[in-house]
Amino acid sequence: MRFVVRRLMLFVVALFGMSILVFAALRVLPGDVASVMAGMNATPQQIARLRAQLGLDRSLGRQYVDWLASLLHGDLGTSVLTGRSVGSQVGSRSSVTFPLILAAMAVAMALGIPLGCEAVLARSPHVRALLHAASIVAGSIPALWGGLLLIMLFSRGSGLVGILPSQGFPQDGWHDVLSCLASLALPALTLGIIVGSGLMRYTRSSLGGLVSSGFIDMAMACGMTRRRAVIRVGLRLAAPQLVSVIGLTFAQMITGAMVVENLFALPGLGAGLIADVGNRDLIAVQSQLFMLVAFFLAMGFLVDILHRALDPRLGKEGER
Amino acid sequence: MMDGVMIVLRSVWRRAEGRFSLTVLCLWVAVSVVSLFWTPQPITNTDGYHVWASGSLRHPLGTDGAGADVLSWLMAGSYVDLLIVVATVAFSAILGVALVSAMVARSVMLSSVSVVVVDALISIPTVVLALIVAVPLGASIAVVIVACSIGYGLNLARVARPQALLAARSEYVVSAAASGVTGLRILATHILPAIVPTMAVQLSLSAGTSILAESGLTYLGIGVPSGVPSWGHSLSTSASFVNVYPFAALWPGLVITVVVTALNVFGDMLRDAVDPVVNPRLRRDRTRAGRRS
Amino acid sequence: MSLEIHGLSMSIGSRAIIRDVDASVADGERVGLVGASGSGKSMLARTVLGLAPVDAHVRGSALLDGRQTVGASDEELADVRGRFAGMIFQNPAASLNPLTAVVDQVMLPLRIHYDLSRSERRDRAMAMLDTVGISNRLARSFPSELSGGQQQRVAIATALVTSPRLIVADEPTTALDSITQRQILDLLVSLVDDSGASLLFITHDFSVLMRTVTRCYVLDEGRIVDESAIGEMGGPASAEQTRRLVDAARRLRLPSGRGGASAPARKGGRDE
Repeated sequence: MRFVVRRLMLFVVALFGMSILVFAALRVLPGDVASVMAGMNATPQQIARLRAQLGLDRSLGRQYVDWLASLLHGDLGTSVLTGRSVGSQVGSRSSVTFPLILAAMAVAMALGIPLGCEAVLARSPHVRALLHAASIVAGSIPALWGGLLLIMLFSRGSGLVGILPSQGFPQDGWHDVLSCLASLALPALTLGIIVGSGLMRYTRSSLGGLVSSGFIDMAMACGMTRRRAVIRVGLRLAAPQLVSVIGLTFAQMITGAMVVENLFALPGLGAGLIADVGNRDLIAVQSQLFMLVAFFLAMGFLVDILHRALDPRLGKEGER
Repeated sequence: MMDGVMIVLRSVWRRAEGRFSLTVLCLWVAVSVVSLFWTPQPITNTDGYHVWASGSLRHPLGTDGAGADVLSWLMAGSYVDLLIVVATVAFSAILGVALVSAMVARSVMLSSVSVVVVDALISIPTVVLALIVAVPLGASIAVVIVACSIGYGLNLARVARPQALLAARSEYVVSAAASGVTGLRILATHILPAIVPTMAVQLSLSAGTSILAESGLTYLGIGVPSGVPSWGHSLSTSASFVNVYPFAALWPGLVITVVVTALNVFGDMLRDAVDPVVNPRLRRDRTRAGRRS
Repeated sequence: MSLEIHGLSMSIGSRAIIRDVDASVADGERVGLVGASGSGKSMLARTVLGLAPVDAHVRGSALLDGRQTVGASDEELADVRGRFAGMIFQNPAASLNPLTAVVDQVMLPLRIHYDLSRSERRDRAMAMLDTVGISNRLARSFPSELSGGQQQRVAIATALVTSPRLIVADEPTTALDSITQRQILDLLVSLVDDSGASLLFITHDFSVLMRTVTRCYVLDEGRIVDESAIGEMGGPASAEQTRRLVDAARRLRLPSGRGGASAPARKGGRDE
């Protein structure tokens, strides 16, 4: 319990620190944000109005406190370009990105964990070596290229087996679930294969260390086959680390997600954020970056707690 | 030290996949150096009449959307990627060593603060770090290097910490500290050598990841700016035309995948080669040199 | 349960681990398998019960009560282990599942082989633990919270809870200090005798052997080099290997228990 409280405090402090960092990063712009945003032909009056609108005429400290206060009220601010609230934009973009990430994670786990087990358990040393090599190569493919290869293979229209859409997402969101899933299929597969290869390597190496250990011997001596012992006992023993890795992979997946969303023209958080950065939409970028940071810090927090919960030994050896 | 490096490299070379990775890596460095003086075509040479051309004698790998020679761009790009990798490895090593040193410092204040910083920041992905840098400063090679160095430096610190702690608590160090040897000296002679193998493995894996990061960030418009050759740049420019010219993306993607595979294989083999338990040659060297840990 | 081994050989790659071994254990007999480390004694026992490494190549024959185990499927062998044959390993800290309470470990063979309700399993496991001297209170703790001796008691309970007809004990006391070693040996022998099971006891330590078995095989480089009843061991040794081992046993007696029982236990508890 003490660990949870300490970890929670760390989370809050880190969140606070990162909010300052994000805020500062967007204020050290060389030159005036407002004049950049307003464009080359803007009159001084227009620029001044924009400055006021952005709150840039106030002191930095004031701006920061205002921003933080509105964040605490759940208000992410208003996009200067579209006039829409950033919150609602994030909401609609999330409805693409989160299903994408979840589907990719499902693909990754469905591929990575069983294949990782197989890379340890397969009887033939050739199969084991082949699976290991496949995991290394798949993990070395840039997300962009992986996506391109899948488009070449499966894209409706131009692919070899043209069965899936490769561009865009239904305009009206999740009304037509099937077509939504279809448009997420290739992106999720791209991301899932790449992330899955990492998971596979990790599963393989952690089980490989366990497979000739006394724990597996013991489970086998009790009457399990090697396969069952590795899957039941080995995976359970590797679970705390595996969960940490999956959690951190989840976080690292956002890079791939951004690439994949751009490639497949999905209106998700990643593509949206990149577009906002390109448009220099100050408030939107600032709030979204902070939300992302908060999300990943929360992820790290949860993973640490879960790791603890899965490993009863850790709690009893005292705090680290 | 040099002896150890040679022994490790020789153990890597002894296996087929090790030869593959060392060959690819040497080839990469050689091509990078050559590209500084010579490419088949100047990379600024464009030919509006022959865009997206397929391979020919003049353009072995074809031309890109501007009619420039793909092979020349890839060669020039290998230099930029090498630069990014070397800089990332160097800076993340420096950051990692600094953080590890702080984490095992005798000052409780310093060690707990650094542990907290690493624990908190480790979950922030490279692309978010890159955005925080790129939004104010714009796309540049430096963005890739800074974001990757911070991310991988933190990771390095986290991975190497247990070994450093083990070394810091060894009887060797305790007795050295008791006899008045300064902390920095202990760090340099006892603790840092203990984490060199782990660092070598992590850094070679990070090298591969930084190439992948370069291609991703460049595609997103926050990495290598347009006009500067890099593998990620070559891949990105062909991405938008995949439906029309599907094979344009083949070469840059292949180059990245092969080089990153080589780095990952190298890292994996390094893990075995630097482990005195697995590699008896190293063990012999250690005992002969008389520095047992 | 009787064990008949004829012409058993095992190799990993090009390395021969066991070479043409003939040996037998009669029903209810306590037999030792002694040899220096690396002599293949552990591998011999493992091979018979299907615990040899995945890449092992096995030839010859090993009959458990007339049932052939060489070439038997994984499932057949798994069905024998934990039901008809129980195993005890050298280092309990590195073999008891560190993530479950010890009573759950003892329940595992029952869960795998018998169709019992959870409470029945629990009662039997508790009773078995009680027999080996682990109280009900300790039964709920994790292996890392027990001493080395207590951990080995749990391992013995796990091996014996299904009343197997053959017990294979692979250096069960090597990781323990000398006093605990003696207690564990006496416990093991009395339990095996009470149940009437056969015992195959593997060790490199003659003094331990004398307390436990009535007959023993001496293994060197995967070959059986000598076989004798325990009484004769002190007499003129026939094979060179036996002489060396007996000499070593005379010199060493018991390994000095440096670090005590809890040191390996704690170390094992952190193993991943």
